Amino acid sequence: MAPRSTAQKRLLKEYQQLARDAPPGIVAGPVSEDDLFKWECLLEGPPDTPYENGVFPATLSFPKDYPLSPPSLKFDPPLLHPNIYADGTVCISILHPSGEDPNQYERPEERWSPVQSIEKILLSVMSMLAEPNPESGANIDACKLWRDNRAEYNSQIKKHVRESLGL
Amino acid sequence: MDSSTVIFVATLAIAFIFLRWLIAPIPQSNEFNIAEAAGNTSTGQESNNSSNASNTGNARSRRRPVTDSMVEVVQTIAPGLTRDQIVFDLSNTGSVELTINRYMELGNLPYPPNSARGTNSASSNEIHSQSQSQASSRSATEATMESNSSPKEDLAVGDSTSSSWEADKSERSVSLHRRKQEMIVAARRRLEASLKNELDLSQ
Repeated sequence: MAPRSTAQKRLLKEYQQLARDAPPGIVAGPVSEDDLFKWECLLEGPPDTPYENGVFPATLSFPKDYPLSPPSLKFDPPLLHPNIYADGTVCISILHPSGEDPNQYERPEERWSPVQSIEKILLSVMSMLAEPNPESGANIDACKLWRDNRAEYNSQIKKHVRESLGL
Repeated sequence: MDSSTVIFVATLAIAFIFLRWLIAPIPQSNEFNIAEAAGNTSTGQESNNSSNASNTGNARSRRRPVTDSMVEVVQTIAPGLTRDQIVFDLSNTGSVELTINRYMELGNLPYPPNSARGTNSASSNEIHSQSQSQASSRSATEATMESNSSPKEDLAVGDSTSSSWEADKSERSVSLHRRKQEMIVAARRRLEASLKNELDLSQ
């Protein structure tokens, strides 16, 4: 077997852990084991939210210096949510590079560090789906809709869920 | 032969032997001096642990000296780790680079087994068993890091659930694909049921 870099060893180990003992509602793994830096995951929408019963595909892209730098997570197709950019990229504190937040919004321990893991990222995203954080909004339209017209917001997501599952 | 020549040759021989004797023990005694110095410079609770470490260092030659500057380097890169974890791992690896590599791969470092005890009254027997358990835990983590795990391990870990770690690359991707399919099918079924419920309620 070809010698692996630290990043590859770490990714393989996290893949192994997620394959053996994945948290409920999460399936994640590399698209192909020849390229461990590109992952595809499926996240189930948390129950008792408009995302309930949905299965949302997302891609994780890892930098070559993982786990020093955080990966990026992108929902494909994009998902309507205050903390997800219109192109599907997720904006949460755990995916931000380690260190102090220049805007002082996030505590350093909330941000990325090599102690975190893919599992923790995906669990954070699940709780983000359940509880949007409108203070650090990424998608202004979704923020407005969520704040001003919750019924429309919910029905748009339910429609997205139905269409994505072909029902 | 001239007596001065004899004296000269004898002096050379004695000087050579003396120098050999002088040079040989230096690295070892230096090592322990550094370890003790590290124990002295650190404060409070850590000084217990460090002196523990230097005790173990006497008992066990695999222990390496840990200096404050080494700990600081690791702590800068890994602010989430406690000092004890870093000192413990550095004393095993003896190298900042190796410890950081281990941290990057594991995402964490093991806690020292004697962290709860904190006193240095441990007998040499205890220290010996500790070092054995360290060695076994290290080999265990190394074993889990091996990409090709033995089938025996698979049976032990993940036979009850559908998720497990297959030995073969393609089998793994097939199982990943299968789990994704199962998730989608289950979600679809649930959504179908809930839509039906809504329909029933509205009628």
